[in-house]
Amino acid sequence: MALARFLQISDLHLGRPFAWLSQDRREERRRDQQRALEQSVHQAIERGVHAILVPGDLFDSLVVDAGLLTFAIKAFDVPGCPPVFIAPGNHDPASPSNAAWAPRLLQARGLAWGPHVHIFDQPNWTSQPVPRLPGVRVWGRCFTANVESTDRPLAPSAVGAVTGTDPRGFEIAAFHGSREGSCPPGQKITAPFSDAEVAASPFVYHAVGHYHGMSRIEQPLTEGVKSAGARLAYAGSAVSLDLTETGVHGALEVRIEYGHRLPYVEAEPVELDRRRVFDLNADVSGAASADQLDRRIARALDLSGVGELDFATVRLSGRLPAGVRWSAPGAELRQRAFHLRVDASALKPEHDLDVYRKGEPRTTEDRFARDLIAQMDAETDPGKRQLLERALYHGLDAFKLREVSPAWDEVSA
Amino acid sequence: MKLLRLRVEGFGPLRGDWNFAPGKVNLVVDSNERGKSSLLAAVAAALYGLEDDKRSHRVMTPRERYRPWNGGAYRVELEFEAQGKRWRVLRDFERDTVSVFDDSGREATNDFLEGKDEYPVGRKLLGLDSAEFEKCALVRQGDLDQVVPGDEKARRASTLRARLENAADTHIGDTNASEALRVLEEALRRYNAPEMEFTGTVDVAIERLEAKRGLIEADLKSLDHQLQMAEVPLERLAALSAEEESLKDALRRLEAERHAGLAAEVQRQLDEHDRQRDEVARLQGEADELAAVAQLPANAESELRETVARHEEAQRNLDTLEARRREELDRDRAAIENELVGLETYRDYDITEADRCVALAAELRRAALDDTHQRHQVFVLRDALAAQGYEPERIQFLTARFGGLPEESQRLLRQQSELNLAFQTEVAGLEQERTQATEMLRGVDAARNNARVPGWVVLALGLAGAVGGGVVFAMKGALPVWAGLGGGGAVLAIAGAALLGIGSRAQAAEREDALKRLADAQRRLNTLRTQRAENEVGLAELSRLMGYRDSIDLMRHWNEYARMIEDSAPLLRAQEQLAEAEALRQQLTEQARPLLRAIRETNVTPEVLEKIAYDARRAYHARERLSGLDRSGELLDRERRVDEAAVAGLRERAIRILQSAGIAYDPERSWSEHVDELQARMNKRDRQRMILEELLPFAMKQLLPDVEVEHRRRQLEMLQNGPHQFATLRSAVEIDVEAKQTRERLEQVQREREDKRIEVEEVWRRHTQQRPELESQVTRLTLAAQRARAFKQSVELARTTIQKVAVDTHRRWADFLNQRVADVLRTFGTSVEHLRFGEDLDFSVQMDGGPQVSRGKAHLQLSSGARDQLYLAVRLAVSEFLSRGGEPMPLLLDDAFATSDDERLRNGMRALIEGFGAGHQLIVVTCHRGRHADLKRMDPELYRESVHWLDVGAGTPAQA
Repeated sequence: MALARFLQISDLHLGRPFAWLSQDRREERRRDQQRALEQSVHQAIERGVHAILVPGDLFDSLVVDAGLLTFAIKAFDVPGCPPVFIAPGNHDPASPSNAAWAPRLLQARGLAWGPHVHIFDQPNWTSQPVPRLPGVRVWGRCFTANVESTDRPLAPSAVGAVTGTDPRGFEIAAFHGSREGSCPPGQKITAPFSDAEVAASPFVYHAVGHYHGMSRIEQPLTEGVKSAGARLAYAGSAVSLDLTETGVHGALEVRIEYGHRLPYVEAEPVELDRRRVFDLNADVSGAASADQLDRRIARALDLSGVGELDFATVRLSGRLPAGVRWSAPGAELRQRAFHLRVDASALKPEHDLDVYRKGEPRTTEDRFARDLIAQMDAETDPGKRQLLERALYHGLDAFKLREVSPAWDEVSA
Repeated sequence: MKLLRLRVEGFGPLRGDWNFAPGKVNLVVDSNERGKSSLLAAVAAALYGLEDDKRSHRVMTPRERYRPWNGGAYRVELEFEAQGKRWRVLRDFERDTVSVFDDSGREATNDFLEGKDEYPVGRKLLGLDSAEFEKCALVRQGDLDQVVPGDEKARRASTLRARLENAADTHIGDTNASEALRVLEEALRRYNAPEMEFTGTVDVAIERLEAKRGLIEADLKSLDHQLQMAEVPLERLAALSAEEESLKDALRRLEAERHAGLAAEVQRQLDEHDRQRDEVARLQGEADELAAVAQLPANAESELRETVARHEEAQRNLDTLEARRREELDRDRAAIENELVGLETYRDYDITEADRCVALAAELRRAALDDTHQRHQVFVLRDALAAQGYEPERIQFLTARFGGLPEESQRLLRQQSELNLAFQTEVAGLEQERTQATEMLRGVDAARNNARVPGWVVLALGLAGAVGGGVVFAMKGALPVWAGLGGGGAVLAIAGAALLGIGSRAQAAEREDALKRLADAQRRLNTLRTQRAENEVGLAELSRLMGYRDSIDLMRHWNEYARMIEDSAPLLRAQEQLAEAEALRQQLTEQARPLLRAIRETNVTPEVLEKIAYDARRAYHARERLSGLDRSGELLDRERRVDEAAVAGLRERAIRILQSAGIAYDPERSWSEHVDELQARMNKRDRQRMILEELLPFAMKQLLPDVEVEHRRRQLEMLQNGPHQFATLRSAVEIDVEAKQTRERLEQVQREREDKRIEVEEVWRRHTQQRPELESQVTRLTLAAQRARAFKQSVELARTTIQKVAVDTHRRWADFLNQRVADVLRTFGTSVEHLRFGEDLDFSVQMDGGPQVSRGKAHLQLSSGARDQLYLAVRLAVSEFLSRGGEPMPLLLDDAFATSDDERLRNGMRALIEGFGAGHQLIVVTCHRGRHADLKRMDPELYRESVHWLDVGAGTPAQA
């Protein structure tokens, strides 16, 4: 019985602009990414893996400046670093003009990947043997353009080239693609594949990139399967890239037992991101001042254990008393987390609409409110209904407070 | 509100006190410029105060305008009824004070406080501010049309319309639609876009946001375009890179060619090394062969040559010296023997005797000198003693008597003098000391007796008391008595004993000292006297023995002898020395006499002795020289043997040198042959030394170190294993020239490539750095624009909705005004048939069945009288509407019918009196006394019942 070990890391998106962060935090987050890559190589050496698999999106775009490219090359160019297999994804396709991969352009920039780093720069499947693992081959394919691809990488016609498996070893795949039926919101389907195609593919294990959350397909031990255990796994983004990416982020250590029996695959998460992402709700009903509202948010952060290193989205809900205005968290509150985003789009003023629904309208204000409430009740389009609601709140503010501000027009980003 | 009384203490030209009838039309009649208009202004001022803000009244403030013309107090007081109470307002404009009292006399001033220091009483009670009151209730002459501003914007901004809306709404107090709309419009006008740091209309904000976004998007496109354009230099960069690689290959090939040349050089060096190594081996072999002569001393040949030369020289010298020495010895011996013949008599004298002769001669000369000197001294001293009076006989006599005395007797004689002297000097002092000690003892004893006497007395008393007590006790007397006697006696006895003790010990130290001094003095006296007595006895004995009468006679001679001895001591010593010198001369003469045996002379003199010594020494020295010649013959023999030994030594040394060089001495061969043989051997030695010290080190130095050889071999191996093989090798110069040209081209390409790379990297860097920020800005601006649009949409929707629902409100007040103004006008008798008020308080008019015309047009078409009546009707209707359900406000009209003809005046006044008198209090001021007097005459009953006539000019203040 032999054991093959791999470290799978993908969707690092080095050079991500992080425009949603404040200017002073962007560079810090980019350094987090770089630290994660260094840490992954360190972990690979420490765990004694046979190879590092990078199934796509090592870089965030085609444009990779010299500093970042040098860093990535040097990150793998450390003593003891195992062989690295990179399958460029849709963000960093292996196009002829991509100076990160094209040897000609790399040479022109005076750079070169180490000899132990193999770039799969063909759109079809090609293989590379894994040193120290006789008979084991890593197959990879790449994107060649930054567009969504409808090519199915695991279609029988595509994997037909995977032949000549050494009986002493096995084949594994590293590629970028979308598992159908599991696409997270906000991500695009590209190079799709189905679970059935995964089950039928000649590969013992599929190291896949593209989705930013960790997920896998488990294969039970049944007759006719190529392997058991983790048949496919997304390592997810090495560090969370936006506020929607909650949960653990890092790499996967893939262990494949093989030899005289069916290969059995285990995938263990290796956490690399030191920052956590939180998505919280805070009811601020009745907060009589901006300071009270800040305190409610701070309490919600405390209850969830948000630390200074973390990201947090706080969604405000409830109704604010008439006249209470709140536009952004205070300086003290902002320092509670590495980045704090407060979504006040669900916040509503404390106008009692039921009063206007009941009884005979006697004043212009009554008739105004009754008119808009009737329209809202009749409206089915959420957008129009929201417009009516805002108009109602602004009108009531004008009647009651003699002050109107765009407090209820926050657009969810 | 009903005005009751106005008291003016100074308000423009006005001064007086007027009462108003609450249920009638108050007709205030006065001539022009008498203050009737000021009266109305005084009422308004009492209710609202007078503004004094120069910023809004640059020419003259209202307060300045109504300042009393003739100075004095500037004060008004108004009494009125409102909200079921009677109020009194006092305003002093000079002091800027205000006081409000209710009907109970309570000061309610603070109830009307607004802001910091304003007391708008009318606003609180009527719900109208000052401007609104002037528009509705205070109709000044010529201001009738001011109720509806001509400008639409002014009309829309008019708060009067809002008042009408509020009045139309039953929910009085809330914000009316106009205000809500104004707030909403204000929000749209003053929209704050923090992204642009802009506050202005929302449309402009949206425009600016869009424009900014457009600019940033253009920047984005520009960045993208630059990135696209960077493809061209990127291609050039790749081409340059390829060229750079080819140039590097060329350089590598040139380097390989240079390496090939280098390999040949290395090979040559290795060959040279091998050749040198063979040479070293050959030299080493030769050196080994010559090793036998290596041990030859470097100076063996020279030493041998020198030794042989010295040997031959020594041999020659030895022969020559031997002959010369023999001749000299024979000549010296003959001379000495001749000299000895002349000194035959001194044959037995030795050198000691010669020295003895010289010494005795010297001693004799010194003894003769001492004798002469001593004799001279004796004569001199004898002359000196004779000069002192000493006779030689006396001297001899005394010397004979005392000189022979034993030493003990002489000491006794000497001590007697000393004892006499000591006795005479010490006795007096010792006696004085003894006397002082005795005096001291007496003083001490006297002091002790002084202390002991009271002691004895007290002791005796004590003992007596004690005895008395004992007697009384024995007689069994009274206890106190015997006890007292006994106790007192004991105390006194103790005191007495103490006094005795003290007295006995007084001055004990002084007494002790005095006793010691007394004893010492006495002891010394006794000692002196004892010694003197003993000496006296000894002297007596000695004098008797020497035949003197007594010791005194003896001491007299002794003293004379002692003085003589002391004075003649030098003479005696000189005589003794003279005797000693004579004895010495005799002794020397006796000693020298045997030394005169060689001559016939008997007189011993130093000169004779010295001559004997001279000749004895000559004879001795001649004998010595002769024996020396004999000894020198032995010495010469010894020297000759030494020289022969030296010759033999040199020969031996030469033989040893030859033996050390490995050459056996052959006596058959000459020394020169031996030397030649040694020279040949020395030549071999020098050759071996040169090999070892010069040739071999030099050859070794030419050899490369093993490491270097190994390195060269590896280098050669590497150089020979290079990828390039060259059939013919160019010269290094040719290679260098080509390499230089290639390197220059390479540097040029690298520079260009670096420039291109920097250009591309700069574009990429800029794109990487700026695009995210620009995208972020676009997103932010898009969101901001969306928010602004959403705000605009929602606010406009709110405004539209409010406007829509406000129509009903508008309809209610507009319908009222339409109807009521028409009614009023009809009563005035105008030709206006119909009015229609718009939303903005503007109205249109239909006259005499004509078309409906706008207010502006009607304003031009109507006569001034009809126009004034029209606006008066509007004011009356507005006032009436505003008073619905609330406090009916008074109407203060300043000659409202001044432009009307008599008929319209009569109708108008009748309408006012009949139509408004019941609800509103009317105060009409006019200067047309005659016209109103005529009206009064024409309608006496109406005027009597409903009109309260006030004639200001008649000076009837406070008339009812």
